[in-house]
Amino acid sequence: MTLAIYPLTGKCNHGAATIRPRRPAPIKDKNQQVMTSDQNDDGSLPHDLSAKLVAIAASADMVAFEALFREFSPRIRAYLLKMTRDTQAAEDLMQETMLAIWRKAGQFDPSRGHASAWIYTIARNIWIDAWRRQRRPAFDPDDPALVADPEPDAPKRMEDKESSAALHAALKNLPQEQVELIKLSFFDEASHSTIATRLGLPIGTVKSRIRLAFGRLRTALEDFK
Amino acid sequence: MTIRHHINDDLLLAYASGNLAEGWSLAVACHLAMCPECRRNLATAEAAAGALMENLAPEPGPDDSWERFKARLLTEPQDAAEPVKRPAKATLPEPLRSYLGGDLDTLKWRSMGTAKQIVIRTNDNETQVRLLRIGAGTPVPEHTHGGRELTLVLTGRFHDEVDSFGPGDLEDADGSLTHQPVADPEEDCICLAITDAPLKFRSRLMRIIQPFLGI
Repeated sequence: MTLAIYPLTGKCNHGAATIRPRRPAPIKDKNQQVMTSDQNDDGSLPHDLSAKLVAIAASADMVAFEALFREFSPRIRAYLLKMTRDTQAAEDLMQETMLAIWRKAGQFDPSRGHASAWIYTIARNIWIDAWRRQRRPAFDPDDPALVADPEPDAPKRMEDKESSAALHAALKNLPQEQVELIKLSFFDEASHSTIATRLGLPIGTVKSRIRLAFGRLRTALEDFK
Repeated sequence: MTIRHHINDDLLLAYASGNLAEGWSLAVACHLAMCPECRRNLATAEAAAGALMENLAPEPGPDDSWERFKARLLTEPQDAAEPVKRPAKATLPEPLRSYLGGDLDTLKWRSMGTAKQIVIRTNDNETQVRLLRIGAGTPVPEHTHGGRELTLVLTGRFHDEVDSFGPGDLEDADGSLTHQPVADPEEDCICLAITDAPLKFRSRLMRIIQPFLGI
């Protein structure tokens, strides 16, 4: 993917600059809101994120990206606010995340996972880098030393839309307490011992409940396949 | 490769959530490179995190959030990503090669008794990371742990009082364990060892020279 962005010389109607995608994208008037009314009943977002990312990568379409930004950035901001407890940091890191999504959209591979998971990992890595000031050691899927999956097609990967629905259904079917524990493990800069203190439970109990919850989630997803 | 010792769920979730310090994460990432099963588990954990993030109550931001973003997009230079160069063949997995600056055949080992080691630097201040080369059939000095130790076997095998560990196996030992890992006689055993506190050696000599070895 090549995203060529050129500063303009002030000839554009909208003043600042333009981009040069394959299909020139009109830049919207700033007062024109992009509607985000197409939410699901449970308040979650529609699951066509993958298609949107692929389209953005293919055409550097800024209008499509604005829609994605308005839809998804409040969720990313909410996640980062939980991780930093700092409104300004959450906004800044959300902006970094969206910039990385724009730049890396061409690397998103729907066959390797959900779009929302991909976006989550980008936000998480930016948080680790900026907030914890540590590197994020990660395997390289194309590394010659990587041990390949002997059964790449089993379990057969579902279409993103379906499996995303399965995930949301599985989360809905878990007892509320277990969902809360999984949420705490992901959305808190807190160790299990801190969580244990906060809940007034022994750490062993917290750990075993989190393991149980994650195990149930995994089983629910396997059953769905 | 048959891996018998995997990443437990506590460790996996800590890695998936970003709450695991860099040193421990390096061992987890290298195990993931060697273990398709654990990669599937990680994918499940990250998919759950993504779905939960979608379900979070939207947090409204400043009114000009998009305009600010668009301005950046249009003014900041867009660096084309450097294509990643990969060798045709490799023994050690990524991200370890990047941390070491090369593959197994380029390493400069430092002697430590019957074993050899290389200290790996990270940006966290809670772990010590070392690559160990235990000579075939020889033990590493017996020690208890001040805290946790994660050991990932990369090549060869070792065994201790608890079990036997081969390529890809990850041993997660806490402070209560005193063990004496011994490399199997066929070949040297190379492993990645992460500790969160200086090791306590039983031998007085080892305790005296420990500061000089950086362990």
